[in-house]
Amino acid sequence: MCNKAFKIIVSGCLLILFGIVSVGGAKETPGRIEVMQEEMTRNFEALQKEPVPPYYMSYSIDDVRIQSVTGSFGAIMNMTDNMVSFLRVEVRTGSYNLDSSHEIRGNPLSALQSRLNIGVQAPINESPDALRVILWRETDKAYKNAVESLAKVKSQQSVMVAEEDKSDDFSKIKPQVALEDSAGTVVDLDKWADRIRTYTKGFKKYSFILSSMASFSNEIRQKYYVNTEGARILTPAVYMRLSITAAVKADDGMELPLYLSYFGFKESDFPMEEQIIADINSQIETLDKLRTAPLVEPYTGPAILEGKASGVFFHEILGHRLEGHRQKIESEGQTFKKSVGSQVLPEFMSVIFDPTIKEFHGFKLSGFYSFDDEGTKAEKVVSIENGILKNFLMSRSPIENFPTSNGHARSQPGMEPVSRQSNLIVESRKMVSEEKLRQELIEECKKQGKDFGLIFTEISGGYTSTGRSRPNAFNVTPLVVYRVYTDGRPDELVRGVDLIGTPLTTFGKIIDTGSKMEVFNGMCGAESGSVPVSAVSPSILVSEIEVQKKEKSQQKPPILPPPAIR
Amino acid sequence: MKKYLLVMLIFLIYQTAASAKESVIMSAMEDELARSMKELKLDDKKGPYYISYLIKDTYLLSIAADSGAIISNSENRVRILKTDLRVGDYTLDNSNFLSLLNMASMISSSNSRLTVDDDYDVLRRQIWLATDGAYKAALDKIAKKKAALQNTVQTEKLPDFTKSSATSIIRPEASFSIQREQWASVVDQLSRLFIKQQQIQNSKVGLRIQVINSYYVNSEGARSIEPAAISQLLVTATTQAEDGMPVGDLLVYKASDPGELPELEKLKLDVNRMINELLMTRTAPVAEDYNGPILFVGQAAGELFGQGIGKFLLGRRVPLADNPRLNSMLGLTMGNPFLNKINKRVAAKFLSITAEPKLKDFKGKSLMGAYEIDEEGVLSQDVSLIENGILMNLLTTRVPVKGFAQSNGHFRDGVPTPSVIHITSTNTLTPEQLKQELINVVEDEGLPYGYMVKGLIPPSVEAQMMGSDIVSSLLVRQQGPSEPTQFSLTRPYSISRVYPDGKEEVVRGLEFRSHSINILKKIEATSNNEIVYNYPTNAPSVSSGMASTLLRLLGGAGMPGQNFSTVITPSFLISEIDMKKISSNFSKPPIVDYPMK
Repeated sequence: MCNKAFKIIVSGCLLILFGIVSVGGAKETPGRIEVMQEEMTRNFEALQKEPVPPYYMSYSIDDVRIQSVTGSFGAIMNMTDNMVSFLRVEVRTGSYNLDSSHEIRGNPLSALQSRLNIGVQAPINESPDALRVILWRETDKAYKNAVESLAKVKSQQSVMVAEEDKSDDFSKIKPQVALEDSAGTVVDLDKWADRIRTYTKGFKKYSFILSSMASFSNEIRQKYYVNTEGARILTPAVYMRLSITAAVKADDGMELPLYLSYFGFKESDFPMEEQIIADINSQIETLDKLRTAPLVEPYTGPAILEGKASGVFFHEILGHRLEGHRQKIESEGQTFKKSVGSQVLPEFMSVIFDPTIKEFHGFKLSGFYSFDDEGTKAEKVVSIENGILKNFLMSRSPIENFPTSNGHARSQPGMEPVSRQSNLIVESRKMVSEEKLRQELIEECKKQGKDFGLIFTEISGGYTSTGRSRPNAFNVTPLVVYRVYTDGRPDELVRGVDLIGTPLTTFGKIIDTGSKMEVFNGMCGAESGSVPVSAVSPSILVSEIEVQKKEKSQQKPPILPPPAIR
Repeated sequence: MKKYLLVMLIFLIYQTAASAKESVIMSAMEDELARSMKELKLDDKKGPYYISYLIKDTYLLSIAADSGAIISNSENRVRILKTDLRVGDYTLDNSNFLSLLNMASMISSSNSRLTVDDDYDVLRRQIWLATDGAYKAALDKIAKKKAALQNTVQTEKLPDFTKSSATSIIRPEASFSIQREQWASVVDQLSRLFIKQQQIQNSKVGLRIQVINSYYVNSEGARSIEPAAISQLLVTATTQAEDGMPVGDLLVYKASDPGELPELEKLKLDVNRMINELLMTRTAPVAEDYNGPILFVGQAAGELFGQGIGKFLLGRRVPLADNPRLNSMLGLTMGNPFLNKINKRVAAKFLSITAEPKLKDFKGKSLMGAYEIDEEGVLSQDVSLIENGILMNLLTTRVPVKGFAQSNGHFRDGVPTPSVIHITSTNTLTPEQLKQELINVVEDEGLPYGYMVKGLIPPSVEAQMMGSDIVSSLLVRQQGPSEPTQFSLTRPYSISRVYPDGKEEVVRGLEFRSHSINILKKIEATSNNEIVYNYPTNAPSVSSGMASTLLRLLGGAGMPGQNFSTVITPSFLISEIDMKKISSNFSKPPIVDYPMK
């Protein structure tokens, strides 16, 4: 039976393959994707004669060109323009029900090994012959690993207790064929070097600024993907980023950084230079205030998280727990596994992951893609609808009751994809004006008998642990936090705040949302490497949040004043 | 032709006008050094008694190809500042001490990245912060060290650091304009030679060209600017024999100026020859365990020095640690038994070894281990290390070791390091006579054959040759030498049996057991020809074991601006060496046919 299925798949491949050759007939040498397809078919067919044949293979290559320049205080630290191609060869033995990718339980090194496996470099230019040799060699390695893994998986099946989740190891999808044009453009890096000098020169005048760094990068990716089910995808991605960070040190040694970040797909997506310089000046002003701001005391009470802060909050606390594979792996906490169909957020809120959009409310979104890293078409996923948990972010690794992928298998080029977030959008049907939200905060404080509430305006990325072996908690780093007093005193900037708590309890405490949406574009790191994501959210008012004092550096500020500028 | 290539491929323009006074880098270092020595002081603590700054301004071109195509081609420029700041005094300061708690901060505090612009203000600012961090780390370290000393019985009391006179060597800085595209084409063309090779599974061609300007100042008044260039072309190929045994071969070219590398046509000939040799090795007979005479020829003699003999000639201080296990590990990996062997015989009577660090050229070959001033501001000096088999001296730094109070200018990469080492002998034979001598020993011992080793895998490419990255190789192979007198050698990639009738037969599947430095006494004779062998200092390697590799990485090995050592050596005949067959859990050869016809 199985063999019959193979034949159908293989012949399907061949048909498509012939199609390409005839289309590309005018060309003298076949393009990269044709070479990949030919070599994959050749290897796949030859390996069918083996005692443990592969039932599925895929090749993916990401051509990545990164132009980047970094500067500090008006001088350049580093400038590079490099091209790398990452190859990943995937070979599966066994069957869709049980295959070589199946989790091998109780192997503490497996996570480490997958992290060390950062792919192989492929030719950066059109070199079909060399590419064939590298594909052949890597296929041989991947096939042998798959045979070995399947043997281990099968032996575990017979000696260990049954797993909770008896889902298949791999789901079937409709093979996608798409050839999209490259979208990126090469920038004039010297011009950006000058801009970086200009942006960072401003920090020189202020002796209280300990460090400053600005960096620009233009990343142009072209992804080539083929699999033995007939997928053939050529898809581009562009990420243009500018980030400006600066830090001061308070007298007690606490380091206080602030970040500005801009994201776009092309240069014209960035604000005007005057706007960026104005942003830098206000960053400097806040840093100066932060330096002497009072330290926060441990506090439990109401707070507002403005859009960016709330976005990070949702990404860390909720987003990571909606990643499908975490509901399956035996060592994971599986926070939401049994919550499908239940209320996890207030009924006026919904959370959507939409990789298919590039823009939302005028914000450019870095979690955009048309196909995921398993060749699945990207889909909009309504994870939480009116507060009810509906869906997880799925790769082709099915979980109980969620048998198919919704296009969220993602990885850093060259690494093994798992289900990851895309563009997270927090929607609310109960939006009030920002002034009203602030008023509600004060009222909530009074109700709880608190003298003040907190407003979080800036937040840097955090981390969350979803495993079973560590407390299932989160920790994000607020950068700019104000105390809002109930007695009408002006707001007061505070420093040294750490937002803590356990995830599930926090969600039930959202009272209301504001009307101003903000975006946080960033890189998210997890077992499949670093992937670009975004989070868009309105401000949220929470009835109770817990903060603690931030762990601070024990290093005193520099002893000598900065050298005089010559 | 050589001159032409030089002009075509690189312009090392020596700027004659660049006096130190005009160097922005030098003045930024000097001004911040003066201010820090005068004013840097925390509350009731004393200020530093010594500060030195070393800035390595490195341009790096790196091109790599795999199986017939370029996979990376990058240019980079980095400026790294190394700060050595000492509190206390020459007798007892914050150095020569390792704290388990401070492992991570040791790396971050001693190296910092600087702007690549010649911007005085920013350079000074960055030096200021680096100095501040180094001072605080030094105060922390000396406190921990004093605490550890209270719990340790010291058998010998040595000062931590010696004074040195103010030296000044200012050479013109090298600038660079390297023809990146032409070099990419060389790498590409060499790699293409492998495409039709159905029996070769892996091939890599890598080119690295570095131009490094080193700037140094210290608070005793030393100041120097010294340029250097390092060009390296490496070709490696690995495959499997029918029985699955991995076999490999390599070619490595090193020179200062890339123009000194061979021309493309010569390189192509060499690569094709290497391919043929590898194919021969692939089908060669599998060797058996062996104990008997071995002739180390050419590159293998160079590696025997680099991996083994060389490290016994270093006056290296074993740092104190605040952990007993760490202390014993350090003693094992860093202790040098030669410290107790001065004026004793350590090698065959006809053997002498000298260090000649200022020698830049030997019979037209560039000596990449040459320099005028070391990284502690000490002028490099010639040293007679072994004279007629008797150990006379060691390579020393400003960190005294028992019996060696003064530096002879051999501090590089944070430790004593070989410069240009010249091995000479009064018992020389022509290469043919030396081979005959091997046969004589073989017959005396009643052996069926002896061995001649022509190539040992350099430690820096061992992981690549073993087909994996260094981290995972280390996880697999953790063993290193078990005694301070022992050393281990990497696998040979070119080894032949020599039969009594003179016939040579390539074999595969042998590796060395650990050896004692006593093999120096077992040298029977040397050849009358010498080779110049340049090798990177402190390259992290798999065979030297996890512990010493970590220590080397801590010392900054493998970073841009890395130094080289040179050995000028004859071939050696050693009367007795142990080799064993490599273990036989090989993976199967590839299942699917090679894609190219």
